[in-house]
Amino acid sequence: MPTNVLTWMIFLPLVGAIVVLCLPRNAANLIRGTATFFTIPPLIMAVWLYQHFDRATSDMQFVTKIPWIPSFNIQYFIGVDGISITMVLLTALLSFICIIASFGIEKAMKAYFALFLLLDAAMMGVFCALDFFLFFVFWEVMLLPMYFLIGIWGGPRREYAAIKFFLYTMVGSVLMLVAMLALYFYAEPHTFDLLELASRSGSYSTGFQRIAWIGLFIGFAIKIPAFPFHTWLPDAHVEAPTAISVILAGVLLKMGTYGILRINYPILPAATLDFAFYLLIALGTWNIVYGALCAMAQTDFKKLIAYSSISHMGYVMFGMATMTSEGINGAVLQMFNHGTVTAMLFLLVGVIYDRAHHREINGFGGLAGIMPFYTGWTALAFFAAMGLPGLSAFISEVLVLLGGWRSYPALTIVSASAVVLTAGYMLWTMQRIYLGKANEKYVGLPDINGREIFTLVPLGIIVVVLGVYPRPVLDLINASLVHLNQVVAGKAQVALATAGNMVP
Amino acid sequence: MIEVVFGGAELRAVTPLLVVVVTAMISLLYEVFNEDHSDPARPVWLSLVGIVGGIVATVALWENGHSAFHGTFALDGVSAFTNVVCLLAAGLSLLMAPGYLTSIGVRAREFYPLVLLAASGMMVMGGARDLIVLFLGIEIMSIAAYVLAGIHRTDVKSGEAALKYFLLGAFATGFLLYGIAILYGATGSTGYDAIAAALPKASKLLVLGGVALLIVALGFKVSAVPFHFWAPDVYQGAPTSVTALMAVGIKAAAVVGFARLFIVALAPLHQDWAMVVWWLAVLTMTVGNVTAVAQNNVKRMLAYSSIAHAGYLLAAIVAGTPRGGGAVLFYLLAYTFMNVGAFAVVISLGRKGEANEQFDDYAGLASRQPLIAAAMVLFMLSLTGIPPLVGFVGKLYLIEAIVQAGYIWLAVIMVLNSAISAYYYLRLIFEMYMRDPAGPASAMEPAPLLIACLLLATVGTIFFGIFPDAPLDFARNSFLALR
Repeated sequence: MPTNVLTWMIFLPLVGAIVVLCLPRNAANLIRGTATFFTIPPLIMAVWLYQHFDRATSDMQFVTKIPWIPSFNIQYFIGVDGISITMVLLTALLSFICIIASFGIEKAMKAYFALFLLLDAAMMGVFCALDFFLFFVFWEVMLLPMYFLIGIWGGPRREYAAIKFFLYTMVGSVLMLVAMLALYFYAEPHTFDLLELASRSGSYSTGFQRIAWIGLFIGFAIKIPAFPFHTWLPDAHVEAPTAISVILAGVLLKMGTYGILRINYPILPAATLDFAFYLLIALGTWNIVYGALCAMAQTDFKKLIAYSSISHMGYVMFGMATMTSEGINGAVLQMFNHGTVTAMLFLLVGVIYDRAHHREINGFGGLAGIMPFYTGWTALAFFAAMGLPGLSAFISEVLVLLGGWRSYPALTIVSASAVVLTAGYMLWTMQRIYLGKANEKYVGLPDINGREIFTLVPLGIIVVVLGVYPRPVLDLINASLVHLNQVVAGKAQVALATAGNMVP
Repeated sequence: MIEVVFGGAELRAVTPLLVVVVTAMISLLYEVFNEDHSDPARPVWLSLVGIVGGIVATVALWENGHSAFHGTFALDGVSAFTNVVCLLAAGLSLLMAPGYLTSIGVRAREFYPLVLLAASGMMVMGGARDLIVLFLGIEIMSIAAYVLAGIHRTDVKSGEAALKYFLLGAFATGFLLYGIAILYGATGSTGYDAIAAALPKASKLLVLGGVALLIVALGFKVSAVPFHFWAPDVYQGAPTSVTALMAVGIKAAAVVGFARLFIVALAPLHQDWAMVVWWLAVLTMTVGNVTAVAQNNVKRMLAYSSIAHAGYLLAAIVAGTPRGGGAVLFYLLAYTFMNVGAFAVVISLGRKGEANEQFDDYAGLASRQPLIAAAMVLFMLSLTGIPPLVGFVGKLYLIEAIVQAGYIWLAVIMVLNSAISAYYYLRLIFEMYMRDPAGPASAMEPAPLLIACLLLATVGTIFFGIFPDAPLDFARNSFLALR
């Protein structure tokens, strides 16, 4: 198990998808059970990974490396370091939770669970892949189940949302493809190995780095989603079924920032330093403020959460761009925290939508009296999303802002004040839905049920524990991020120096 | 003056051709004397023997650096690969034919030998190392194809397709012959090697004039924009199994002919023709994709999509490198599987009297015929270029060759084009999976041979997507061996 554990984590869900497809169409419980069964071993393996992960080193661990397409020097090369292990943990956890949250699906459930497991496998693959080609393959494979999951099981405008999601991501990924090939040819001997590419980063000229960086960045920015590529997200979220929204916000968005950290930062350090200031930090700040302002204007509960995601992902970009160890640690911690918090939010929206069949914020009122437990859980999630001290998102946002203060005080002030906006729209929503006079129509609504609580409990525990004691995650990521920070700063200087030498 | 040699090398070069042509003749004669017309599938078997025989002979006899008939024809790696691709395309179109032809009421049994004859023309084009041989190949192939396009005699559209194809094909032939003549005048030869050797001393004006005419003529055959206007009407009007053959086999042969001529014979002029072909490629893929978006008929959409794919192939020829040539060959193999598969699905939906070719006819297909719908999804995704399917690998090699040759912008335009193409391929998937069927459509079982065809296409689409190494190495080495 030790060496192949990641391979198992990637391909077990795939096996699960095939098994689910072979089950009889009408055996609903069997299908649900089988799908759940195939997400449990990856979760156990994730816990095992967490225990056995060596926190002192920034090297790749649990590595598997097998030639795949030798004529192109493409390998099946997977492994995790501090950055990816947090994402692997998050993916394993959210996949399990979302399978359970999907038990309510009735339309063509066999296909639903099979596609979901395929999505799970592809997400794991993206976070584990250390060969650019392999990364790209998983990245693209992920697109398809997502398209179907939104397009078949989505809301009324699912056609539009699904195709918009697909086309946006496709444009990003094809640009990534060209940048990938350019990197491949620029490296001598040609390789897709991300570590090899990173180790030669000193030899890439700054001009080349900038072009490749932009190509890759557009691909990743669409996924984050960074302004102005964000417009697919609210549509996709609003139409997607609950569990898919959770995966979308919890895992898929992280792939954008993860990709930048995994590929742009170590392989193109000089360009990273250039663009961190002009692009990343500016876009990060803008995302924070713009997302929060848009969220405030929404009347659809789910759309509001979607825009809050855009705002929160802004903190990740902001933290990454500061190039300080606080900032970058905060950014990766924020990726993990946002994954858990936003998952809770979407699950909670799903709870009320299942009961009332609409999501109009103004259509409710006084739910606190009707559904007290549900309201309690929502309060926890809302406070976490607001960044209340004692809950996880507080730590990561503070770290990000601390990092930012050292490099960009003015923008930090702008970003920090957006916290007020966040509190504003969150509390206002709270007030409109849960407080005030109870809406007659919903007096008889049943409170949150056992299955729904079961999906929320692990997330709630994580949110509270990490809010008080963030070391479990910070310890995981710190070594890798410190190393990455040094690489970017150090290599960039080397690159600048060699570029300088080339000028006679 | 020309001494006629017919030795070992010559025999070797023509054996695969002989197998195919002789089978076609036998099949033709057999149909004359055979009076029992009860089983429409019977003529297929004989033709398939010819196809398989041709492939076997090719695989057994090919040799890198081979040449015969004073270097005018060869059974080298490139031509072996082309033979296999074209015979595969012909074989798959034959598999679709029997049930389909019966259902549209075509009793013409010449269909099967004609496909073989067209395939033999393609094989000649793949092996041509001389402009005259190239011309011969094009004509052998085209004349069979004209007849095939019009084989549905009672259908007005089929007749229109044949006439259009014939008239424009005749025009193209004229251009081709003019081009050959001018090039011969400038360089004193029609052989590729001799042309390449003579180019530096030849009159540039004459040479460029000849090359321009050749580009026009071959542009017609590969349906490059702006010489593509015949393609959608012909593809839509011709019987679907013929369309599959035209979109895959004929295109493959024409592209290989194009590639060999330009990468080998006109290599010294790369600077001059690259820019023209660059624009041709960009226009072809962009017009093809953008127009395909607006189509409501699946067959017509596939026609425009095949124009777009011709653009991708031309883009790799722009690179002008053996790597580009290798990528073209591999892509043709990939394209054969996925595109023939798509046409097979189109056929499988047809009923007596109704073609069911509109997008609306695909609504809810997933619930009526889940397996066929799933296969169509595979083909559409592969055409879009989604890993791990063969279309992705093929496109990757094309882009790789283009980037390596330094045409970054061409690569960017190409990938953006494939993003556009995602729209209309996905639209079909959307119809099949996310719309409810318009009316109660009867679930009809496709003919067994059609299922075999679909199965082969599916397996090829998946298998070569995951393990592309062997054909890729072969394709690349065979173009490297040409120099």
